[in-house]
Amino acid sequence: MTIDAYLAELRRLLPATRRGRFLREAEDHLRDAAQAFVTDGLDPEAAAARAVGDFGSAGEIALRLRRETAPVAVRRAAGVALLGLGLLFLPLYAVPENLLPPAPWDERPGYLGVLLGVALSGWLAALALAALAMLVRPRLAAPALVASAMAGCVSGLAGLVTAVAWHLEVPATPWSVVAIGTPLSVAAVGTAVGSAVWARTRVSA
Amino acid sequence: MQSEVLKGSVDVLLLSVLRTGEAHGYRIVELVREQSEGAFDLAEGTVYPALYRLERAGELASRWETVGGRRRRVYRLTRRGRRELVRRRREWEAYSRAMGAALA
Repeated sequence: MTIDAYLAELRRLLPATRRGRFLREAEDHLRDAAQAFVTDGLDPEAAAARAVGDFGSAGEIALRLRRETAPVAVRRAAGVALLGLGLLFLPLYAVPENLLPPAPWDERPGYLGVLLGVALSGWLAALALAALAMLVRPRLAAPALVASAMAGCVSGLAGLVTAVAWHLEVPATPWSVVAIGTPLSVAAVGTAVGSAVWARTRVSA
Repeated sequence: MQSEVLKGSVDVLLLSVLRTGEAHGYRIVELVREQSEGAFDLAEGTVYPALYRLERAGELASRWETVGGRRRRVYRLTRRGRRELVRRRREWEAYSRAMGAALA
């Protein structure tokens, strides 16, 4: 195999986070090694093949790099999930606080309280689990991120149902609460789910 | 050298060859081969994941350097790396003495 073909195979297999630096170092290494074999008397083609052979299997190296970079990658995924879930503050609190008309009832209907409780506790659980994922080992962080994303889904869904139910209870409620809250919730939960899926992929690679 | 034995010793080998100064990846592999008189013949590409791990642990530091128009990543031992090398070397010496005594 030529050095260029080997580097192309490495590029295909490597995690994106380390690709640039590692490929530059690998190319330097392979060209140095090939040059040394040429100096020892091999022809350039055989020298390149020998250098590639000594460097090792591209699959094995990519696997090791994935394992080495997993802790950083998973911690970053947890950070992204945490930021994404932070967005739920807007549809769960900021948007209704600013757009809802004054409640017409003395005592809020019980089921709305339950829905709000589920939305808020799900959100807090999702944040706590994402924060936990930043602190623990990748093998534990990935399931924590999955649980965080699930809690985020429950929270987002409960928030959305609450908004619709509020609209039905209080006809003067503007639809903009749902119209603004829904894409924000989807973005927040989508970020958390995406981060969890990515972290699981990195850990199981 | 059997790969199982090598696996546990790569980190200390890398720290050890860098104790005298900076080196880039290919030179590090050469130094390991030279200093072990060929006994440790590493699969060369697997040195880099180990170097990255040691760098993340703060035992190595690295920087790009341009030599003869080529940019190379050179690695050096940090203060923490030196302390770690001393500690691991003591462990290896104790292990080696114990194995020597057991197999004598």
